[in-house]
Amino acid sequence: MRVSWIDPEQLRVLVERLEPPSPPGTAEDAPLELATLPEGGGFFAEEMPDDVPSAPQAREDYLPDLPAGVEARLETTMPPEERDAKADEPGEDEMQPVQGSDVSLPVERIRDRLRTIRQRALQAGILNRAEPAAAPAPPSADATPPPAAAIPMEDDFPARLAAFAEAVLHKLPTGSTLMIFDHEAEVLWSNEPKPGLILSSVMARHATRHGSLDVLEVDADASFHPLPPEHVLSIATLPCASGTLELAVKSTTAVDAGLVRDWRAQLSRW
Amino acid sequence: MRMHFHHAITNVAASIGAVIAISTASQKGGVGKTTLCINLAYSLARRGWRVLLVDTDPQGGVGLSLAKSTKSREGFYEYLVRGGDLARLVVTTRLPELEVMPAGQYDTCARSGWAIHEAPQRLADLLRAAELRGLDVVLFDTAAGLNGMSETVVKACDFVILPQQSEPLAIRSVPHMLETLARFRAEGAGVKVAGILLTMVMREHEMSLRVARELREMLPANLMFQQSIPRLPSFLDASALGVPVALTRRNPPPEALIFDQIAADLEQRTGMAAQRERNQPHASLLD
Repeated sequence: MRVSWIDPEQLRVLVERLEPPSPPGTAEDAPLELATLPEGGGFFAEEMPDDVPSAPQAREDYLPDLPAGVEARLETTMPPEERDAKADEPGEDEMQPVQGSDVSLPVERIRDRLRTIRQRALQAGILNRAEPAAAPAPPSADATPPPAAAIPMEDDFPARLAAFAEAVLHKLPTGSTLMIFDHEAEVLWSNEPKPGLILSSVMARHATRHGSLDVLEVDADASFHPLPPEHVLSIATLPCASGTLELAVKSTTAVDAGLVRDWRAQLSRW
Repeated sequence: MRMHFHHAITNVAASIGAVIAISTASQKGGVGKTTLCINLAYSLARRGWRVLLVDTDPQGGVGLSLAKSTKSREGFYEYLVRGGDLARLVVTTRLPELEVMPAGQYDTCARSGWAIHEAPQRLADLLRAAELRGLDVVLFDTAAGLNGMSETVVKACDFVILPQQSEPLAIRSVPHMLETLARFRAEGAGVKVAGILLTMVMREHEMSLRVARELREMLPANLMFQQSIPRLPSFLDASALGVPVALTRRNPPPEALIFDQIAADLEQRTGMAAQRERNQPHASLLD
């Protein structure tokens, strides 16, 4: 006789309920990257599949009017191995509680961050409420993106940024990772869904810059940081009318100084 | 100067790591949650993690276990009401890696009025502040029961440890507890079960061992910590002295090693070990 009075079958069913459900779609279909933990994954610590089911709430609940293109890019701002709060130095406004928020974490934390990013983008005039931004065109072997100088200035900022990013990528070695940040190190564009290392490095650069007079020299041009074993992280600061943009490029070679000058000249007209 | 900047980058990047929030939870009281928290926090800190132990139990068991002076200090509940500077509410310990946030004055806070619906955001703020403070782990001790504040805290965490007293009545509540956790998950909480940990095991008592065996037979191995915590007088001694059990003697008693093992197991279960392995691949004996 069992002294615990537990029905093993009942327990088995409960354990199954605690295990993560099968993801409804492919990884590409996953609406939001929630891998904010070191291993990501399911409910049990030792059973951590790659695909993490999202919270039951639809994303439209918290991003009702975010343009589709920008939304896609914001998804890429979630590093896989670090919690979102690592990705920026929060201002005082971010430390204030969001009233009426009773949804549990970490989904809620990610939502807060997305809201903050979106609000900043709106305030900076780089996100248009009325017109959905054009989604960045998928890379194609046949299509050659227009040179950066040919990007029509009448397009809204996200569309121009996407076109600019494609043009930049075209000049970089195949397989390069490109991320574009605003002056607060918020990711505006990225072709890397899990840019944890780059994000960390850029955040580190920002943290150092804020605490050091080295900024006076470092901001003068691009800086280069080896990413062992075989990559180099190039970070270029590019002023434009909407604020300062930073391009972070991870590739097998350092970005050529001439390219940086071209980008700087192009963005100076924005 | 450029070289100096590069080194600074490397150092700051190496120091970046996400804080992991872990709570304990139990439907039944008196199963050893506070003892577990104090000793586990100490072991994790000894293993090099920067740990903040947060007491969310209005009884203030953590503070009362460690120092008389914490009884009158502000802490977790003041943070829930007012927010503000985490550093002001944190008590440092003799171990630089271990800090404690006492429960604070629950009744005073309750009288002044605070909204439970704001608690999730305050907890998010707390975790973010802990992250900015450079902490690796925030360990929450909770009051008995998986409702009210304990429910909110568990839902806010990445992992939950489930101490289960090794006696029939306590073990019979396991299905209820798992049912509750399944509900949390259905409500969107991302908390994962780090494992069930048998506590207060009476090795000389057959019934205590029997329920422990039954539970291990019925549950998958990954849901149970391999270690169990015996019921020993040394834990009483440690409480009386206001220290983790490892500090009751100059040479730690054998039971102190159990918490080191649990800490090591927890590192594996939460991915902390893998994270450290990535950041610091090995330790050298000589440099």
